Amino acid sequence: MPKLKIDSHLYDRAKKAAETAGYTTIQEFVTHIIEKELAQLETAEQDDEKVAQQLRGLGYIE
Amino acid sequence: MSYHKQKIDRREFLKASAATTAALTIGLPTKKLYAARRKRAKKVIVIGIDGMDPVLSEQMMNAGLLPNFDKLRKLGGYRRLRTSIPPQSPVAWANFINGAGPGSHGIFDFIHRNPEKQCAPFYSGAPQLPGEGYWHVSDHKLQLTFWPFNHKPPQTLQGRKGVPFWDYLDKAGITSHVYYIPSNYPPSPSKYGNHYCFSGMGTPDLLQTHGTYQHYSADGPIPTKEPGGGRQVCIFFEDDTANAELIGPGNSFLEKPRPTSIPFLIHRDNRANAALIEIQGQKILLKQGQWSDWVKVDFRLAMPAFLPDEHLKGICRMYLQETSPNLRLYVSPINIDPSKPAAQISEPSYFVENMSEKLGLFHTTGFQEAYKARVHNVFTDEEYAEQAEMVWQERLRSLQYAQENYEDGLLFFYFSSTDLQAHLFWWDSDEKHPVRSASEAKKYFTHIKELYRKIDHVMGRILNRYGQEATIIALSDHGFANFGRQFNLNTWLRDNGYLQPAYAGSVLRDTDWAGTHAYGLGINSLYLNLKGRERDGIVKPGDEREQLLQELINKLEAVRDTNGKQVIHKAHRTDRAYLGPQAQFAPDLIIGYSRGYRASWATCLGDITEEVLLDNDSAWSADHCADVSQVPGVVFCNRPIRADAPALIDLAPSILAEFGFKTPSSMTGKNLFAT
Repeated sequence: MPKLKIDSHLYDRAKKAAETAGYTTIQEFVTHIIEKELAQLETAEQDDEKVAQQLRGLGYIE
Repeated sequence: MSYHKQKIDRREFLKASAATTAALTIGLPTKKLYAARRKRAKKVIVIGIDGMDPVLSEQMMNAGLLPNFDKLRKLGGYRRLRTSIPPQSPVAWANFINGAGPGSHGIFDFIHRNPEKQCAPFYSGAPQLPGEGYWHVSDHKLQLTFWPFNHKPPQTLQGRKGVPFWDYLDKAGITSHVYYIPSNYPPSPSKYGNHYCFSGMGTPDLLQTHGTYQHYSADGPIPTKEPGGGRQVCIFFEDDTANAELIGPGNSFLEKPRPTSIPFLIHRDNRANAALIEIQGQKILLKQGQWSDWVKVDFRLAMPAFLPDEHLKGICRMYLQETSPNLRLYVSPINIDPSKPAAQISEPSYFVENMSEKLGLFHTTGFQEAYKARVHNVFTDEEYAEQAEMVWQERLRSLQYAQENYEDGLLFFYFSSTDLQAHLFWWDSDEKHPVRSASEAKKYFTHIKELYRKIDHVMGRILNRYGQEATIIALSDHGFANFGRQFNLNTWLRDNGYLQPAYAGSVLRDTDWAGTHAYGLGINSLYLNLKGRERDGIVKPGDEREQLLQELINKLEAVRDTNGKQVIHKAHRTDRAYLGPQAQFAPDLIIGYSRGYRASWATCLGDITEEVLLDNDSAWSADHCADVSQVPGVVFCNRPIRADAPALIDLAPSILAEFGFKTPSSMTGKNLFAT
């Protein structure tokens, strides 16, 4: 499994936040955050492509 | 372009969940009578003729082929009309509506971009705001607009800012009826109840697109192809019957919205050269080459079990192109049903329903001519001409209705035919046409001349009916030019080092913004990658911006085609061309192409091709998205025009002056009847 390096201060903050939010481990917390962010970015990409496809419906654009 | 079909208010929620048989009613007010009548006002009639070209008009007037327009010219009521920068219809008609330029109304191109998302494109006329807050239940997401939820439904905004001229009439108690005008979706609200309008260019179809046809063919593509504006499907026959599916709007109540659909059957009879279509209990018998009447279709939006399903109603027409050897059936874009509109397409919302009571069903999408079917080679030239003629005939019936329901005040009526037929059929030189032989190009240009004669005939009837009692104005937003060569602005920017990396293939997908100074998006727009404005901007405002702008202008205006022709007539700095509060949102440069040239198909949405300059190979062989100086429009009037060089922005103050108003401070145009 790939490993990531993060700043130790950020790690401490994330660990504290994970505990407060009720996550079992910081690993679970970080995985959740990344998944959430990725879902948002991927949706935004899909939305942009949907808009572009709609704009191609204009006669002026193919 | 949202139908706001995600929201449920408190009353609806209680009613619906208590009795699932009760239908949800969302949004539209019930019909009421027109506002109480008041004293009679003057009559001003304005006919918008999109794309009517001055050079062709003058040639035809000189040849005696446009007698009614020529009569106005001889009375001193004709001028070439200066258009907008750039000469795109949404920009130009917004100039007309506000009596002021893009700095006032904020429409700069068909396509704008969101700099906060770096360069995410959107349709400028009707930007979308996403909804906020949902109640998640099973696989649905519902919006409850009442306390304590107070979810915010998605909104379609009017992209045009500033004050439309009819607002001044509305306030003064003068009635205005405005039909099909571009840059007016969602329709302009009337504060005092004296303004009535039916929206035009920009109004979506039921799929929330600018018009998506569906084409079913026994030799269709596998898998289904979805070029923008169309859907091409292969169908399979068993015992002369094929199952097909009409795709409808997405069900936005679902967590993962899916398109709705209606299954239907196509029975073919090769011996009779006919087919029978069975859809939602309706049987439509079509002979080869025959169009159906409007067909009503009802798309069901599945809801959670405790709520009744929602429905969106639309209308479409079917055309049986061929029965054998390969059956081909064309289904038009699914229009919003004017007798029961799923979105507000008129002001007040009952205005279009009243029209429908008299006229039956008719097109409601902004773009009604089936140009995409022609450009995608689904239609032949003849088929496109026939469909466009149907639009023209329908528009004449609407004009008749408009006249019958007009007593006084302003009547504005718009024709799209001169624009959307010219894009396909205009060709006024002996140069090689992109897709037609010289004789075919000549034949279809004659078709455009015939159309001008038909418009002249319409004008004659209006002059005969109202000439003694009304000020009558006819105008176009721009003229027309051949479109033989295309220029990829983004390829040019990349090849000249303004856009990185050197192998970039798309502005939207693979630009290195840390090394990019400028990019093109839309048909005429160039943006700097400006620090503090673009999300990843690098060009510093001030000296660096100034130097870069001048450098780009010098280099762009120096671009020459292989035959030595100047490609870009002028690159306009918008900080000098535009006045008003919206100017700050404008592109940095508007690229004004020479006649014969236009932005390439690819560059409009940021795609980068190998070559900077290439031939246009599309049936869309004429255009007007050139420099402001290259494609002026026309203005005719049954009273003398005093201004020497009038512009689109002068019409609104002139119309108001006819009703006795001084030019409002929101306008920069001048009364063209004044000396």
